[in-house]
Amino acid sequence: MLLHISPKDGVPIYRQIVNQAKYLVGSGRLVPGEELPPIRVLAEQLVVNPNTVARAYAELEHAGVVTKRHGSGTYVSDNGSPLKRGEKLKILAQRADGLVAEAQHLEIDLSELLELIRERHRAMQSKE
Amino acid sequence: MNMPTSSPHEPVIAINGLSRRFKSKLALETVSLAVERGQVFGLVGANGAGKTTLIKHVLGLLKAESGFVRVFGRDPVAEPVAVLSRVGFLSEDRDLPGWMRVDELIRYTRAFHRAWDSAYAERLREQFQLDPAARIKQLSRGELAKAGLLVALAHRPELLVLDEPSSGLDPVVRREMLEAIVRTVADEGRTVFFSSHLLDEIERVSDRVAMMAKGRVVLQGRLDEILESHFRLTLRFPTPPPAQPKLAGALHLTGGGLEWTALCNGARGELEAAAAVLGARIVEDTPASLDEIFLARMGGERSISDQLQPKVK
Amino acid sequence: MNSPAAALAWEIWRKNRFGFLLLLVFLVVCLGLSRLATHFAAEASRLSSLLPAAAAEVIEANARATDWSSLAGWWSGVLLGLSLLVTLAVFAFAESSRMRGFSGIPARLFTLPVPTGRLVAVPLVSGVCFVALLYFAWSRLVLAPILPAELTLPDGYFLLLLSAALAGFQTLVWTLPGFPRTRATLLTLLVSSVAILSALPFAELNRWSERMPALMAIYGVSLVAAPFVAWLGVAQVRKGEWRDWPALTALLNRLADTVSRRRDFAGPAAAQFWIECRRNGRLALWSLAVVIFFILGVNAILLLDGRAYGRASLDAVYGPVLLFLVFIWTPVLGLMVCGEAATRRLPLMTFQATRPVAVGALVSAKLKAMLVVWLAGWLLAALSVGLWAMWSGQLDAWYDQFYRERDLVIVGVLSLHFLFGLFPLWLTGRVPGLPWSFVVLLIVYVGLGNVIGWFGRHPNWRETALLLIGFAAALKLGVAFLAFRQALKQKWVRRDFVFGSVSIWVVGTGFCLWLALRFMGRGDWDDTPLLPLAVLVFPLARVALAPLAMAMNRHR
Repeated sequence: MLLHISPKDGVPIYRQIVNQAKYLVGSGRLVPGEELPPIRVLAEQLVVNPNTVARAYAELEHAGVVTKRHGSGTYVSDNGSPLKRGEKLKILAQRADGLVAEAQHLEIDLSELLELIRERHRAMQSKE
Repeated sequence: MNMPTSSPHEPVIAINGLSRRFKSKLALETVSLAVERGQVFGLVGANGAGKTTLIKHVLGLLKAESGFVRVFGRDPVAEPVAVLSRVGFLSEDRDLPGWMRVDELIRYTRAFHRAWDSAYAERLREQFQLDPAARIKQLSRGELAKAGLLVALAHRPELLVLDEPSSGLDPVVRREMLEAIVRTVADEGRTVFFSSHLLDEIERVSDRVAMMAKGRVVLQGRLDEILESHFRLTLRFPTPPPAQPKLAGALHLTGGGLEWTALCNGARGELEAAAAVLGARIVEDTPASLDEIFLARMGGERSISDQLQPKVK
Repeated sequence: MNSPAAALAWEIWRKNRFGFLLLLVFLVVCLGLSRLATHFAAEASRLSSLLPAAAAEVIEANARATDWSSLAGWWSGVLLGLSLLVTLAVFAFAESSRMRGFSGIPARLFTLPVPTGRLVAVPLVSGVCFVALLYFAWSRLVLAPILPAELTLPDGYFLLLLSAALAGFQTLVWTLPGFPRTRATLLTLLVSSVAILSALPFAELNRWSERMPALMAIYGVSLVAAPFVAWLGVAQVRKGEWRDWPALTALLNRLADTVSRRRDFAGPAAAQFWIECRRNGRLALWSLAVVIFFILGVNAILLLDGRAYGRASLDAVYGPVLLFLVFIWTPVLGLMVCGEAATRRLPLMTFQATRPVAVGALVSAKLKAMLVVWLAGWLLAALSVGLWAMWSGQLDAWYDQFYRERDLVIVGVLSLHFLFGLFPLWLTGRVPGLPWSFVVLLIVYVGLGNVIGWFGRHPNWRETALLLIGFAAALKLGVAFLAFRQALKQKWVRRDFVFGSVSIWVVGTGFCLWLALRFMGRGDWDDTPLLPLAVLVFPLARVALAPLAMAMNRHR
């Protein structure tokens, strides 16, 4: 699992781990049932505090992206996210707000934005 | 040597109201902080802020003039053996005897600690690529720091105290040192207390952070809380304000012309209200990184000291 | 400052203000003593010309004149020697760093736009001028009045000798920064030879009137050659060549490695003892060996030169060796043990201060190492002189010296006193290290010597002397008691440290008392103070104060 942490980002490190892990799962680079590195190992690899990694893993587990099996480690969930549809949409709504605001700021209109989203979706599909 | 272990809920380092004066200069001013077991505590500050002085108090090399210092519940000046046998220390100037060889250093330091793990020491030595026959005065800066870290880690101390572990080191060695520190933390119950002026490494590995400036602790708390409570707001004014606008809740204001960026420390509502009063619009709202927070706080200190001192014409 | 030369000269002055002040103080003090000595001598001769020789005033005036001239003589000799050493240190221009020891010319000066010639010339020329000035000041103002009339100082000889010595010293310091051991050895040899050469005019050697010009010519040639050698050497150092000799260093390291520690230590005490011995022991014993070898060498040359002097030839070896061992090597050893040999600094390194041992353990290790190295030094001296005796066919004379003369044992016990010197003061780490602390020690001991000598010459003050000695003994025991009690209370030492020190003191003092008893009645002078003095010789108070001092060093 290759993650890139940048402390100067302004985004807290645990959040960076969570986001990147979610991206990897979403783009298929982490398949369901695959084991995530143990907290210690990932902490050493990224050179960050193990508590930070633990927090990231806890959040990923809470979000349903991964599951912790007793004693044997953390694995990517088999089924998709167990969140209810409404909750999932709420998460995405936050992202959408940011995207829409930025588009407004850059004076890109809605049709162009939708075309862009379709294009990125196609690109991700083709990578699988 | 039968030392009763301290209770698990007692802070490993407890400093309360510590002050210290060197001749006329006040090096520490009523410093209070606590380091809990298993924590990584980062001490941030510019050069001369008092970090090394504070660390020397923790090790018992300086006596507390006022206030007290307790490590594992004991006074390090009164009970040096009980404290120092459970502490691994890397000094800022890495003063190891230059005439010793690396293997002699390891053998010598081993004699002082019953809990020394020779296999672990050997693993570290190989990992750090230290030639056992090399003399310490021939080692490069990075190797010297690694040698110092080796003898600090090899007896698996409950508390690891590091004074500027990465100062003067190239990125490769810096990473090695940090990796070794992270590995120490991952072992259960080990506490790390380190000082640095390199904020990105503080941000990576610390649980709690204390910022020092001119001998005082200006900010202290959990790292994630600090990062979450400080953020950067960029405000756009309709007309350029005449002078630097005064905004409540803003720690530090930079910019010019129509756009000004304020670093806010949690009093978001106040800042927004003040901005609204002046007719400014928020155009950007991002989390602040630790060095921005630090610079803003330090800048604040400097302006406070300017206000206290009369301007000399 | 208008020119680099002026800037360099200013730097020499500024860096060593305290040194120059000390030189001035020495000069003024000895000037005063010299004036007083001449005043009292003049008064004594005036009185003896007016009154009969047996008159009380005449006797008193003569005694006083002798007192003052002996005082002036002692102090002038010692302080002149010290002044010369201080001058050498000042103009050598070297700086020290914690890990790498002493440098030559400070490397930071090499990056300045100054030609090497000037860097070398300024300290050399100013040094030689200063030494000449110093010589004239001392010889005219201080020494001339108090020296016997028939003794004249050969100015030319001494000027050339001292200038050549300074130039040689500087050259060695500057051209060999990468060879610290070689440099230290050569510097020791240089200073020892200068000491011997400056005694030569007074030694009544045969054919001296022929030899002196030859020696002076040698000094002159060295004085002229030194700047060139220094210039070449410093230019090499500046270019980065001549930093060290890798083959030699590797060889020396390999030699050193054969005695490097391969076994594990039995415990913290063993480890600490090892580091104390290793830190100072090698350097101390090596420097002793160098000087002894040098003395033997000089004597071998003199012997082969044809001066056959029988039993006296052993004295010519035994005397200087003993002098060096007892009056120079021993106190310097005591001082070195208190600090770091490489940098001559007394405050504890944090690496040492953070060892998880009690203060008492640090002190015991130092004491043990000090005593072991000191005994090893005596053994080395005895063996060397013994070998010389064998070679020059005077084995029975050597046997006499070591086994039958009391003097040696007394000197040995006294040198133990010197060894401890100002031990607690140095251990505090809050006083300057070498060489200033050595100056203080010398002053204290010469002062004590003067006091004892004075009391020896004035037997009517015997009661006061006894009272003072009694008071000193009581003070010693009182201080020891209080210091031990404090150290135990603060848990700096354990009980066995106290018991050990006290028992050793009891045994040692018993031995001194036995010596004193044997010695009494032999001489024709009043020796009642000997017994109480014997109580004062063996160190106890200083051992007791050591843990307190070390605690002051460790916890500031």
